Formats: sequence, C-alpha cells, structure tokens
Amino acid sequence: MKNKIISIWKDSILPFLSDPLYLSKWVNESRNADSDRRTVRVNAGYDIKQRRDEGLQLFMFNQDTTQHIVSYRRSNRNKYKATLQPSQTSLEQIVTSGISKNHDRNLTESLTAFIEEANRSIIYHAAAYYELTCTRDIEGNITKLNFHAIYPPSMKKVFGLYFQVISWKAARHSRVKAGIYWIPNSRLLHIPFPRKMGGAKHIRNITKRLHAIGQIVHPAFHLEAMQMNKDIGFDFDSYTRQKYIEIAQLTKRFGWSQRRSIHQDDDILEYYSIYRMATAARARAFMREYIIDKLNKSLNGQIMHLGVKVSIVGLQTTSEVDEVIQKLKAGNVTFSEIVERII
Amino acid sequence: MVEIFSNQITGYLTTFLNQIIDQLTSNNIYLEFKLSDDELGMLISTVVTVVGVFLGLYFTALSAVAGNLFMRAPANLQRLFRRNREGGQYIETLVLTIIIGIYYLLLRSFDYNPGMIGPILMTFLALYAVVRFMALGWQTFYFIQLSDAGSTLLTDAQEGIDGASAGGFGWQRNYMQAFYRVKVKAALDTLKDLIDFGIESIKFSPQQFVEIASYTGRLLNYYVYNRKSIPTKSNWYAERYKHQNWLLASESEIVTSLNTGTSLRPNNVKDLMWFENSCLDVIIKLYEHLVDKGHLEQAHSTIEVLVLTENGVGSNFYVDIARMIIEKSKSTIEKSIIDTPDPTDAPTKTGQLAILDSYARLPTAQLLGLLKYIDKRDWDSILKEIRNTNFLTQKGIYKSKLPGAMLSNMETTSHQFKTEKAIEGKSVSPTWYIETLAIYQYSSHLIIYYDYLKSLSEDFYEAQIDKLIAKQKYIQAAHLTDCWVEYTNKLISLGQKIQELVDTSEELKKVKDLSWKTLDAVAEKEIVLSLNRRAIDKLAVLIPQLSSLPDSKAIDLPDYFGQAYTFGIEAAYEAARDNDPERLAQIFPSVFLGALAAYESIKKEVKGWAQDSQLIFSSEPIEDILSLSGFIKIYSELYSAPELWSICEKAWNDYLESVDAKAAIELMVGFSNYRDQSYTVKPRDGLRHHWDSQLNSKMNDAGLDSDRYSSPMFGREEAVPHSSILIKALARRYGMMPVDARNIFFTLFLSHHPSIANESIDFPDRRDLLRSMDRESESASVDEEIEDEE
Repeated sequence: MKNKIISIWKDSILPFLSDPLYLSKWVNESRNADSDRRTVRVNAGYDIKQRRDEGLQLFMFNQDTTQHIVSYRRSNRNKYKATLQPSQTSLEQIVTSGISKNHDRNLTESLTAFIEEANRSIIYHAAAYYELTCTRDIEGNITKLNFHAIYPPSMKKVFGLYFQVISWKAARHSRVKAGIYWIPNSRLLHIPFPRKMGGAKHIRNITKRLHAIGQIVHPAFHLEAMQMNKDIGFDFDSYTRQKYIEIAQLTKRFGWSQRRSIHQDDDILEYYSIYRMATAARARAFMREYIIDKLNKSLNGQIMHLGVKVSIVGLQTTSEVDEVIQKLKAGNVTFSEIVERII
Repeated sequence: MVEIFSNQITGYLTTFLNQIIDQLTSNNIYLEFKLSDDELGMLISTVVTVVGVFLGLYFTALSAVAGNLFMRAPANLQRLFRRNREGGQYIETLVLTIIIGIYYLLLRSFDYNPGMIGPILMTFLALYAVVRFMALGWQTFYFIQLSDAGSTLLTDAQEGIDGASAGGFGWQRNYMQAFYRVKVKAALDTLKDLIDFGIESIKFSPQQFVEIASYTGRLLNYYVYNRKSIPTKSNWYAERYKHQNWLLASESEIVTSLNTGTSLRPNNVKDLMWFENSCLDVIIKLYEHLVDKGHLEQAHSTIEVLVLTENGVGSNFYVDIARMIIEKSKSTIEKSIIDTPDPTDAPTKTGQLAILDSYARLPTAQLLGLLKYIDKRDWDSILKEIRNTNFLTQKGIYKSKLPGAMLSNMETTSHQFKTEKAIEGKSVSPTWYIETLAIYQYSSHLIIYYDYLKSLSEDFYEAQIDKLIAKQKYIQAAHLTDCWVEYTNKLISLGQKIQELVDTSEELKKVKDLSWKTLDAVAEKEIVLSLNRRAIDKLAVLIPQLSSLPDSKAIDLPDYFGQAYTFGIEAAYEAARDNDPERLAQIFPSVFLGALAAYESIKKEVKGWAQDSQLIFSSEPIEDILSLSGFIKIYSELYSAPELWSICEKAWNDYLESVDAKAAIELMVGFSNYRDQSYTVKPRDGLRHHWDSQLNSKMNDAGLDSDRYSSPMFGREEAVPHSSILIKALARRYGMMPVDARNIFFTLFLSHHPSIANESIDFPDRRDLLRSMDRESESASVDEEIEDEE
C-alpha cells in the first residue's frame, strides 16, 4: 500500500510539482541533440491546417515552382556550378555541410537543396526561417556552421523581436518542450516572400485559393446527375475553364502553365503561352537570386562573418530572361528559339 | 392596289367620322337626323341583310377553295395559307355589324329609338366590310400564286438568318439561335411541300418554278455572304452526335467519366451545311422536275441560279459550300444529261448544251469569285481589314470583312485573346502577333481554296469529259472541254495573282516557325500550265469525231470542230517546240486528219465566193499542216530528236498510202504556188508568223542567233555550232526572214516521195534550201578535214 502511494507520488505528483505547466512533459532528449540551437525542431503534423489535403492544384504549383527553381531540365544539371568567393576549400566544405545536411557532397548540390527547401517553405508559408549557429576553435575560426530550419507557423514577430511559440499540442506531437523561445535577430535568417512578387499576403491568397480549387474536382450535384443520366444544364467545360482562368490569374506572376504544354493549351494564344513560360523562368531566376542574396547576407552577418559569397554560374539571370522577353515582344522571332532559351 | 385603296378608304372614313363627332360635340353645326322610324328600321335590316349575304359569299368562296385546294394541302401549307390576316379581319367586321344590327332591331321591337350614332356606325362598318371583301378577293390568288407564297416563306427564312447573325435579336442566346433554326427549317420544308403541291395539284407553270429557284438562289447567296456573321458554335447549326476516342479526349471529360463510372459523352458535332443543303435540295428538285417535263430552257435557268451564287463562295474561300454545289449538281446533271442517250432533235440538243454550259461554268464562277476578290487586294488592304477586326468584342469578328472561311480560326483567336485579357487584365499578345496569326490563317485558307480549284480540273472537267466521250456525246464533250480550256486559262491568271500575294507575305511573317503554307512558284506554274495543256490536248483529240459530226450550224451550235482544230494545231506546234514527243504523238494524228477535214469543210463553205477567195480560204488548213510539218522537221533537227519527226512522217506516209499520193502532192504544191503568187496577207498568216518568232527565240536560246552567222561583218564564215545541216543552213538566214517551214517540208520530204519519183513537179523553194544545205555540208566536211589534219 505504501509502495503504491509512493509510486503515485513519484509518477504523478512529483512531475507536477517539478513542472506544474507540463512544459517538459513530452520531451524526448534525442530531439534536442542540437544543443547549440535555441529553437526546437517541430513536426508539421500537429497542425491540422497544414495536415489537411493540400489539393492537386496547390501540390502541383509548389512542386513546379520548387523543383525547377535551379534548373528546369535535369540534363542541364551539369551545366551550372555553385562557387564560393574568395575560394577556400576548407570554408567551402564548412558552408556545404552547413546549409544542407542531407546534400553535402559538393557546394552545388548543397546550395541547390537549400534553395529548393527555402523556396518550398516560402511558397507554402510565405516565409522561411533558419536559426544560425556556429562552432569556433580556440583561435576563433569557424569549424562548423548550421542553418537550422524552423517551422514557419511556429514563428511570431513581436515588436521586431522573433519568438518561437511551441504549444502543448506541438510539444506533445514533436516530443519537445513547450514554451516560448526568443531568437536574437542576429541568429535568425528570415526569408519572407518577396514584395516584388506580390508580398506575403499575395502568396497566402494564392495557396488558399489553390487549396480551395483543388478540393473539388467535380461538383457533387453534377456527379449525382451524371450517375442518373440527368441533364441539369450544368456546363462542366465552362466550369473547368473558369477554374483554369482563376488559377492562371492567381499565378500570373509565376507564369505557371498548370502543366499544360504549349500545343495542348487551347485556351490561350501561343504567344501568351510562351510569354508565361518566360515569366515562369523570370520568377525562378528572381527567387533563386533572392534566396542566394539572403543566404550571403547571413554568411557575412554578425554571427558568422565569413567574408565569402556563394553564387551559381551557368544559370540565367533575371536580366537575361528580361532580354528574352523583350525580344519576344519585339517580334520577328522563332518561338522554338525563345523556348529553348528560357527552359 | 386594292389593299392601298382599302386602306385609303378606311383612312377617309375615320377622318370623316372624327369630323362629324367633333362638329357634334362643339355644337357649331346642327346635323339634322331626318330618318323616320320606318326608314331607320329599313336601313338597319338592309345593312344586316347585305352583310349576311357577304358573310355567306365568303364562306361559299372559302368552301369552294377549301374543297378544291386547301384540304388537299399538307398541314404546313394550310398554316401558311391561314396566315392571311385579311380574311380574319373581314369576318370580324361582318360579325360585329350583324350583331349591332340585330341588337338595334331587337331594341326597336321594344320601341326603343337607337338614335343616330348606331345606324351611322353600322353603315360605315358595312362599307368597310365591302372594301375588305374586295381586298380578300384579291388575296384568294395567294392559293395559286406560288411565287407570292414562296416569297413569304423566303422572307421568313431571311428574317431567321438576320436574327441568328451577330446583332440580331438574342443572337447569343442558345434558345433564340435554336428558334431561328427551327423557323428557317420549317420555312424551307414548307417551300418544298409547296413545290410538291404546285407540281401535283395546281400544275404551276415552268416560269413559276424558275421564279422559286431564283428566290431560293438569292436566299442562298444572301446566306453565303452572311454566314460569317453567325458563330460556328451557334445553335443555328443543327447538331449530331459523334463518339469520342478515350485516348484523344480532354482531361476534364475523362475525369467526369471516371468519377461517374459512365462512358465518354458523345461530342455534339455541328452540321454547318444544313442550310445550304436545304436550299440546294429545293433548286435541284425544281431542276429535276423541269427536266422530267422537258422544259430544258427553264431547267437551264435553275442551274444558272447556282452560277450566280458562286461569287460569294469564292470571295469567302468557302471550299465546303463550293464542293457541295458541285457535288449536288454533278449527281443530278450526270443523271439527266451525261448518262442519257444523245438526243437526236435539235431543241433537246441545244437545251442540254445550255444546261451543260451553265453546269460547266460552276467551277469557273467559283474561280472568278476568288479572282475578282483577290484582284483588288494586296497585303496593305488585307492588313487594313485585319486591323479593323476587333478580336476582343463580342461582335468584332462577326462584323469583319475578312473571308468567312477564317471565321472558325478567328473565333479561336478571339476566345484565346479574351481569356488572356481575363487573366492579365490587359492584352499581352502584341498587335503584330494577332496580325501574323490572321495573315497566316488568311493565306492558309486562300491556298486551300486554290488547291480545291486546281483539283476541279481533273475531278470535275476531265472526269465528265471522259464520260461524255465514252457515251459518244462528242459535241457535249467538246463544249465541256472548251469550258475546261477557259477554266485553265483563268486558273493561270489566278495562280499568278496568288503566287504574287503569297510571295509578298514573307515580310509580314513575324513568327518564323509557324508552319506557313508556301507555293513553289516554278512547280505551281508548271502544274497549272500542264492542266491547261491537258485541256487543250483533250480538245485536240476530239477533232476526228467532231469533224465527222453533222454540220453544227444546222442546229445553231458553236463551231466546235473549228475551235478544236485551231487549238489542236497550236498545241501540236507547242509539243514540237517543247520537244514533247509523247504529247505530239497524241495530238498530231488528230490534227492531221482535222486539217484534211477542215479543207473539205471550208471548200463547201466558200462555194459561190470569188475564185481567189475560195482557193485562199480552202487551202488554209493545207498550208497549216504543211507548215506545221516543216516546223516539226526543224525542231526535230534542232533538238536532235528524230522521234518528233517520225510521228509526223508516219502520219504523212499513212495518209499518202491511203490516197492517190501523186494527185494529193500535186494539189498541195498547186495550192502553195498559187498562194505564193498572191501578195495579200492570208487569213492565218499571223498564227504561222508567230510560230516563226517562237522558232527564232528557241534558236537564240540554243546559241544559234541568226544575225551572228548571217552577217557579213561578224560571222559569215564562222561555223554554226550545230550538227544538223538544216539548222546550220537556217542559222545563216537573216534574222527577220521567215524560215519558210512549208517549203522545207516540201524539199526534205514530199519531193522525195516515191509516188512522184519520175515526175517533174515544181516544188516551191524560195530560199533555195538545198543549195544552202549543200554549202553547209561542204563547209562541214572541210572543217572535219582540217580537224583531222591537226
């Protein structure tokens, strides 16, 4: 009996007394192995909003804008190369392993993975967050650096200060400690959706609408009517076309083709189809340059202060795509040549 | 007239009544009503009686008509007849008058005085009824006036077309489009029933049927010009189902089918030709009836109606309509004219030829429609039309002046352009791109129509001519061939114009990798010229058959034989000139026989003329064939192509074996000597002189410029670079001098004929050809010796 009381005391009362708010109730120590970081790694699975079916349209949009952000064609992958300037082999290795844990064979792969991951986060959450950490030797030289990705919905900005808010629900799901973590601005890389592409509100509206459009492939009332062989006067072609137009309106800054090829798309002129391809190429180049620029600022910021610059050579810049667009607008062109230049 | 009169009377009565009422109400004039009670009763009963009689008369007349015609008419015709509003108004007036009259008579029986307004009103109503009766009497002819009833129906059809066209009432609403189609279809069906009714019950005159055909043709023409104002997806066009291919269906349709577990919905395919089909059915029906009844002149007029509609077809590049007109008329003409036995009586023959003439002019009219349209246009004017077309408004493309065949493409462009604007909020595609697309579509459709016109040469003319020849209807075949020759000549002009237009479109192509249709200038020219040659050859081949036919003047027909001979001899010369032995072998024997037949024919024609004229005119065909044979010999030597000469030689040998050769040669020599003595210009000298010029040109092309080798200053002694002695000798003559082909033929062939071996015939040889040739021969052997020594 006594043992039982002691057992209850130990299992229930003592933890409560030591952690009355249950902040550490679900902590799994292995999850907090990165002792140098202030933020905690959470799984997106706890968030019902994020967990729900994203829908075909949003899935395709995110995939298309992310997968091709560095290079449209797989065959082009050996035509571009990431470089570190000034060139330092040891530093390049540190940067390579720091910006991407899973693709650390060379800087090109690592940078590509970083850009794709950041872009995916920007498209889904209108921002990407990284906590910057580094380890130094006795002489103060950096021996290791890390860009820890932070789940964007857990980040809050209050009066210019950044906090990670971990609810009990998130803590239980991710086996981490609940609480509010302050991250100094100097340790944070915040990449918001760029204003030049419409700003955060715009991308949120795009994802919201794409999600909504993707939920209904076929209206239920029409399916019922079809199954009963009833003509209720519903014009499914017009319905599909209106969805197409709305998606095209939403994604016009990205020039997303909705995976229709030029010759397959009967709803728009061939010129406009190519114009959208060029717009897509420009958006890719812009996002790529934007993310690299933000990365370079972090590498040379207060925490790391490396004095280096990463860049990619062999890919089209925004100004080069602009030139192609201008050429397209001027006329006397060969469409196949324009397409060849932008993909 | 009666209607105008009745309307005027009604107007006067109304004015008069108003004036009386005004006077009465203003009390300025006192209108005394002097009828006694008895007289008033008499007036009312008289009016009622008279009106009753008119009512009776109307129903008697109606019964008579109904008994005879109305009841025999089908339901839609009865509806058409009942649309006459005159009758309805008439009945209403009579019934109203009788009711008022009987009412007043009843009041009088109760000693009630109706006053003066009622009797006056009754009197005027009765007068009005009489006037309406007159109008109605006139309208009774409506039953038997096919043209009036027909025009009513065609007016209905025209209103339907206007309604369905851009700007018409509800033209964009599905149900209104369907309503217009049903209305027009009903009108055309009723028209067909009316024709049947006219044929079976009323026995309309042939002229009345022609009037209906003419109305229908005008309606078709009106439609052809207005079709481009009707959207291609409009419900104006009837629909039929077409099953889809799973592998080619759109994504949305496959998703629908998979989600509902049903098969793919069949596509609704528009029948874009239903209206043209119906109109042509009406015209063909009338034509067949008229031919059946032997009214060939009127039947010809119905086919002529189709010829008149072709302008709009050509100017709008409507291959589908053009093909339908040809196909429909082809089947009926084959049945009624081509496949029937050759008529023996002159009126039927001329009637059939007239029909065949109109029929043969259908392709020419389709060609001329395009030629007239394209002749006034260059890319500047076409670009102006493109710029005036607004692709972003609802009506823009339907009000465009661009050819109607482009409508479907323009609709796609407009739809895509509008979608782009909906997406972007502004137009992104630049003006140059829209213009480039329109130019691309324009030139594509132009070439498609041109290709269709080229195909008619073989599919229409040649096929029909072969059928006529097989049926031994040579005059008809000659007539059709004559039209074919005319057609190919026009095709050459059209081809040049189109080539010019297509070639100059290069700088307007702002998108280089659009699959532009082009025309290879050299190949195209050769294709069209070869069609022309084929047509002429076909005519030439008919010469022997035409020469043996009875005198065409007897039945007042064109001189088909003379025409075939003239074209044929020219074609034979061209074959030799172009070193085309195959063609020459096909034509020359016919032309040879034709020349002999022409000689016999002209000899009869010129009987009674002055002797000199008789000899000159009758010897013209002989002179033609002798000269032609001389030229064949020259070209054979020039091209070192003995096969050319063997064709000619064989024809002459065959001929001279079949007749008394010596007499024939003497006759020819006699003619030639006589002609040489006369220094007047002979009837066909111009033609033969032209042959001379062409030979000069060919010799110049071969580097045998006669001036170079004949001039004492430059090259008298220079060797002529050709192996033939004859050509060497000819190159020595002065350039302006004719080669004297006839005498060459005499010298080199006829003078050596075995039949005159021991005869002394004075062959004309003005240039002393043999001596010139001997001189060249000697000079050549000297040259050879010098070469051997060297």
